[in-house]
Amino acid sequence: MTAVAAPATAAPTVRAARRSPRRYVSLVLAYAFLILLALLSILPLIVMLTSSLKPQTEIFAIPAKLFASHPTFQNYVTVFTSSDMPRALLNSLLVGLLATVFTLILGCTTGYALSRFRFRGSRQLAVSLLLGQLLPATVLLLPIYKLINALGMLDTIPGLALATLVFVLPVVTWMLSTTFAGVPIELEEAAMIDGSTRLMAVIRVVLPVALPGIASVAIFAFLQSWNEFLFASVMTSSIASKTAPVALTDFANEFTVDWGATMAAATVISVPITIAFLFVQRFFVRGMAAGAVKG
Amino acid sequence: MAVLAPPDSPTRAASRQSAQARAVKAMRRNDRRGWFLSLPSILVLLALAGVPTVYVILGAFSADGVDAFDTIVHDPGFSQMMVNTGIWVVIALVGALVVGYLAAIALNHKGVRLTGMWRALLLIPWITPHVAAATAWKWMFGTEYGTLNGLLLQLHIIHEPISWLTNTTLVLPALALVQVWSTFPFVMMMVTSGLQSIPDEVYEAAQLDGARPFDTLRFIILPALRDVTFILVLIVTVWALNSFVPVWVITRGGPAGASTILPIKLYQEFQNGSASSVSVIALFQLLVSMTLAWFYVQRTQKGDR
Amino acid sequence: MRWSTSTRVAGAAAVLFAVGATVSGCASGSGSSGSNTITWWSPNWDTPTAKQLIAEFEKANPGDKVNLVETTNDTMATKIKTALDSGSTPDVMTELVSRIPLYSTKGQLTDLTGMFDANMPKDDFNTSALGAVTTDDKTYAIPFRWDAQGVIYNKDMFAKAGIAQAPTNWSELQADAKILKDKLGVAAYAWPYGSDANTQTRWLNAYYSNGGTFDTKADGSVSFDSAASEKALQMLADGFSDGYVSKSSFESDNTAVQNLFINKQLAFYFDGVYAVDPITKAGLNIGTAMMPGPDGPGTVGTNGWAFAIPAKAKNADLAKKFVQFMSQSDNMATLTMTFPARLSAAKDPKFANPLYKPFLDQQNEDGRAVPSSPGYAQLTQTVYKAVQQVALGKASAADANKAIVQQAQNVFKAN
Repeated sequence: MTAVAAPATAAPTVRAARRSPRRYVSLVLAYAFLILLALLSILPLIVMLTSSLKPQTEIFAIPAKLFASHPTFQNYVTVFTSSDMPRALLNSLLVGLLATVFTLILGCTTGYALSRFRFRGSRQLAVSLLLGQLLPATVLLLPIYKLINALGMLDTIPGLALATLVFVLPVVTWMLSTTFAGVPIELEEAAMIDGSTRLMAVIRVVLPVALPGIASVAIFAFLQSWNEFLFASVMTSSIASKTAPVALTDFANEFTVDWGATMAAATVISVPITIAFLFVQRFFVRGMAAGAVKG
Repeated sequence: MAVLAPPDSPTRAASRQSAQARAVKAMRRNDRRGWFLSLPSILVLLALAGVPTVYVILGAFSADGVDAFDTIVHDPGFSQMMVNTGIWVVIALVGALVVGYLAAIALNHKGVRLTGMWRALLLIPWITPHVAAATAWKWMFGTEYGTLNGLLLQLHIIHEPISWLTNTTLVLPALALVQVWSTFPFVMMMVTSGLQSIPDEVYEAAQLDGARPFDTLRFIILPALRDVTFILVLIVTVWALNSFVPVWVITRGGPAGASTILPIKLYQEFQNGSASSVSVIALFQLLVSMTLAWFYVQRTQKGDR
Repeated sequence: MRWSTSTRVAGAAAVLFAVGATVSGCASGSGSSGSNTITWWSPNWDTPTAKQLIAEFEKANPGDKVNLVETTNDTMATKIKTALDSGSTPDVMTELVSRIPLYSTKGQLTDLTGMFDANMPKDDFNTSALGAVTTDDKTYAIPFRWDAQGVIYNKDMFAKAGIAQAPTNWSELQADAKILKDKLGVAAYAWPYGSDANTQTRWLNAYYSNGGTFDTKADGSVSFDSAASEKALQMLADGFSDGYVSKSSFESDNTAVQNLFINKQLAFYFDGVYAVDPITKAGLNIGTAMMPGPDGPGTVGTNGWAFAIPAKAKNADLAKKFVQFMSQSDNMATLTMTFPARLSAAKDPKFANPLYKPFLDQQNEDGRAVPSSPGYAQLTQTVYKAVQQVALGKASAADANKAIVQQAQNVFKAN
């Protein structure tokens, strides 16, 4: 099939194509799928939310009810006034941001190098950099603990951020090298011809175009660090660096668990991040970030 | 690169030689720059990941490691655990990839509004703390008092409560669903970012050519996402092999070993302080993942740019 | 425009880095390490009493300071193990007795045998407790708390079914359970088969009650009684096919079973003495009894908590002084909710509730320590699976037991 519509007459044809029944059907399917998936995604959060509003006596009441008969905010009061969660949330935020910054700096430099400079051994290097991602956390725990201890950074925020690098840097580097490879080299060359250095060219021209990819890996790095539990549980001992997932276990006693407070804390951890994401997510959507840069 | 040149003359030969010299010099400079820029990452990962890898290999091949291997392989539940692990990984991988891809493609659809809101909602499984989410799923899967059965009964989809967690055939897929639930947002996000690199004009040209949506998927989207797909397969598989939280929180590997998978074994050995068992299992996982990585390298080596 | 966005992002990143480093720099550090300070890792459920006792200690010993670091149930095992393996340890730590040998056999704990004297005589300690932390006559931890399980039953439900007193052996228990199911229409009892650790504990009780033991021989191997194990599996599967043991067992851990009991869905269940107070507070009229065995009281697996001093502790002398202080009878009684490990401390009036008595008798007369061989922990999944198989009716006790025997051979072999 040939399509030789000249540009001048392309517009009406395209518009007609947009209104085609095929397009409509696919739109309905898309919405149906999204609604179903969204419901499934938030269902556990709803269970968590409704549990957090139940008093202790109702959490395991039989017969079980989804909504509380006598809803109470007591669990949230517990979380905010008599637990380490507020400070732990701040710690988690700082560790996440720091880890993201570390990862982006290291990932961008290496990713750029891998994509632009066809140097010998670059492919082998790329694959071996993935190594850290492939090991289970339990194996990494003791050696990294000893390293952070040797640096004197146990129970500190930068120490934990450094340790979580091992979970994010490999895949971030890989993703960034793919992202940069997708940015046409002509852009930098054009900028360099105009007289800027390579570094300036990269900052001014390449980074904005690569912003969707960079934003995605930044979110990935932040969320991985945010959810990380094993290292945090072992490398933190005081509120100086205790992170949210660790503080979540504080509500468990020897024989019982204060599920109301745990679920309240878990909700408190999840909801603000979701809202924050609403603002951040536009950075990795095409068309909003870099403007009309044609390759 | 072919250079169209008239037959050799001394000047041409000379200029070709200096062009060659310049090319070699440029290559060396590229080497230096490449390695120099990569150095920080290399150092960091050497310290954080290289050293543990050496420990794993040493531990797995030591006398204790061989003993541990023996014990693990001769455990009566070993074959059931390996079969379960295979099923677990396949469901987790295929499920997360399919759902993630579909979600990304659906969100990429021109007619969909409020994409920001959809993305935020679909990201919730990834944001929720794992243990709390797994506990919520446990409550949801309960036979008599679980939310899922309650919902399905009310909608008249089922007539009797389903024993999600005590039926030995259902339990593993049910838990794998939880794993898919928590992993697909990552896939969705990575694919979304990958889809950004496909310009609108390509879709429109395909539309004008009369391409059906499935053809678009096959010939435009999937090839463009090949690199992303590789990394996703690797990461999701590694995550599935390391994910013990859903099974640990919900069934502890029961009933009757129906949901016992390798990550559970690894976590238990870790808790028991059996460092050599941990090394053996970690080495196995490493070999599996590296095999995947090797396949990719082989495939792309052929069609190298 | 593009340029300034990127610069703004870079600038923000730099600022965040600086802020993060400063904040953590100001706030870091887990307590000073003066020559008269020790660090004590203690679980968060003990914190209120721990703080009280620390205050008393510091008052009695001016210049000595104790820095309390809280551990939690979910994280303490990993934290302690990693700290001991890395060499960067606290001075004193509270740890589960059954885990102590995992560390003492690696030489990671200080020998505390020298601490026993006239004020703290060895025979004042529960025998199985002391035995569990002692290897080759060297004691590596001082137990301060010791727990056993018994039966907790709903007196009103028993009365309604016409049962006058708690069962004294296993066949009486089965008979009573049948009556309760018939007369009241609910399951008589349940097991925590949703949790592997809880299941292994119940299996251990049945194994011990049927005469089984774990004896460490000279070559390092540990004996295993196959017949006792099979009988244990049988006991744990009794009643499911007749319907008087609740099928919810497979989805429940001990807390869930307790919850069913509180909600009057069960007439009795098996738990430790710590459950008595919360259940009484929930308004139930309960009675307690010793665990029934095949012919009379059964033998129950007992476990508890102890103070240990890591070999690499920075201030071992002050640590010992502190542990000595905490091990005094009255202090031990203050610290524990359930029974103290010292027999004299258990005489404290706070333990006088008659409902507690069967538990105390159980651990003193018919209790045997949870085995401390690392192999025991490696049996957990095998035992868990076997118990569930038999209880679900998927395998006979004899067949399921074969797997346990085989795994026991694997994990208990000679060094």
